[in-house]
Amino acid sequence: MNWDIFPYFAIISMVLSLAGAGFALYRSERSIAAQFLSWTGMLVLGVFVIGFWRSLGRPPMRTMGETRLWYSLFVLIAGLLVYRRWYYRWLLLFTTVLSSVFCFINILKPEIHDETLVPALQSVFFIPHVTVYMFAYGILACAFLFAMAGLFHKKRSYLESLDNLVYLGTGLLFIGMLSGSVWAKQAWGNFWDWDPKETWAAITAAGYLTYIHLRFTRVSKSRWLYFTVILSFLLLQMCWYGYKYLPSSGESLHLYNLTE
Amino acid sequence: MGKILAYTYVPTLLLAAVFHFIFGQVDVRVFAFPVNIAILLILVGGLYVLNREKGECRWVVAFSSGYAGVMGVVLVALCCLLMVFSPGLKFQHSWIFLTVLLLFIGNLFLVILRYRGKNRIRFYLNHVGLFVMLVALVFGSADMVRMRAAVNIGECIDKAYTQEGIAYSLGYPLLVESFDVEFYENRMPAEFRAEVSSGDERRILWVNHPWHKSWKEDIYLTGYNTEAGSASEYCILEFVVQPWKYIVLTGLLLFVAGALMLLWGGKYRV
Repeated sequence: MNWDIFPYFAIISMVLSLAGAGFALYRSERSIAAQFLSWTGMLVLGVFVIGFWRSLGRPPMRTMGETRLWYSLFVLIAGLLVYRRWYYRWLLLFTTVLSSVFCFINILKPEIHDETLVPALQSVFFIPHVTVYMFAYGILACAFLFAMAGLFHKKRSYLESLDNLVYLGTGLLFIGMLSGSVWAKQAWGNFWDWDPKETWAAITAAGYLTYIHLRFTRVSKSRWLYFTVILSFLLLQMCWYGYKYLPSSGESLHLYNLTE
Repeated sequence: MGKILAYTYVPTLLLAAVFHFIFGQVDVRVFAFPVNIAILLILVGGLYVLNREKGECRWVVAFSSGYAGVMGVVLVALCCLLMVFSPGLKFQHSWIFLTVLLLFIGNLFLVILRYRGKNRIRFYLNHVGLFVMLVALVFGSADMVRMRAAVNIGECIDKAYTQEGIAYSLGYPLLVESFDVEFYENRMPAEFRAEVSSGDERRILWVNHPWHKSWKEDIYLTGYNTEAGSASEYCILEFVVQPWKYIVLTGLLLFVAGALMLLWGGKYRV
């Protein structure tokens, strides 16, 4: 299964997920059809990821395009799990749009995907580290949507759900960061080297930790709490791909994409 | 509470800035064992006694509060932003950043001592884990030595060099017996390996597979003559001496357990 057929899988997945999101939006009660269509959309993208993995002979996690692929999948999964937990009718639409944007970027910006994997990435930590991070990004994308909704509706009622998403996402971020730290010791000799990617990871974690601790102080206004989550999500984008556009990125040990 | 914290943090950071102005960047070697242990004991011992004797003092209450935690996290984030936007400053080696980290470590220690809230296991795993990890990384950096040597294949060495060019004796002979590179079809390197020996011990080194020479020392294969490929006449070895390695790992494992409990429990359930 090669990259040429990705647009077919992506479009089928997008159409199914969008139909599911439509059912969720227009049904006031919990929609089984919405869940079924969304699961099917997610499954179609999942099947492509597995087939692509098999055809490459390595985990598709090396290039930016490949991480976008995982992100599209995990945003769908996170959206569906959160929908099943709290039944916010609008959520599936937003996660589907977010996932579709990244699928479209991958369709419009096809990259060269081959079996090459630089020696540093040939580690037992590669798959858990990347998947945990991508799942955290998906969960925190949902948290971002909740924070935007809270800010837009000027209500505190989103905070309880937001807390749970941020705890889940931050827990995953830490597991990703700590597993990366042990991997860095194995590969490069130290747990932490202030590499630009590592530094942005620390900044992102600090953003979400600030939110968690501000909640305990119990004096912060809700709009500041929502703002903290939105800002943290923007910092997360820097950690994922934005750091590459900064002058300091030239020193980064995390630039593995040999074909870009 | 905000005022007390401002009266503590602002003068302390200003003092650090003055230190930075006078002494330049921190030379961590000055704080190598036993100086780092002495400073650590003074810091945690002083805070322990202060908390026991003056636990109700407004300063101790403020410094161990969630506000101080938020301030510490935000200050660390601001310092990190300076590092990524101005890499030339090398802010990670500045007195200001070291002070921010020490304030953060002090806050963590007091918070751990004074916590009486809910979800204690999760709280202690996360905070003690972070505390142990930070202490080991910050104080342990003074005892860490990284050395490199470009070794010809078939050559035996007994010393290596730091980035500053200082030669260190390894304390054992190390012979590079052979070296090999495997390539993908597009000529990208897939893997490179070196067979090394020291006395009766023999190991194969490759990326992600260092030789754990002792409890504190690891040997890494980091490079070779990429133009020559498999015919490279030398390979580059890195020797990392990190006596605090297992303390970092202990903190890290505690922190991972805490993070897992964060996933499991969320905010309201444990």
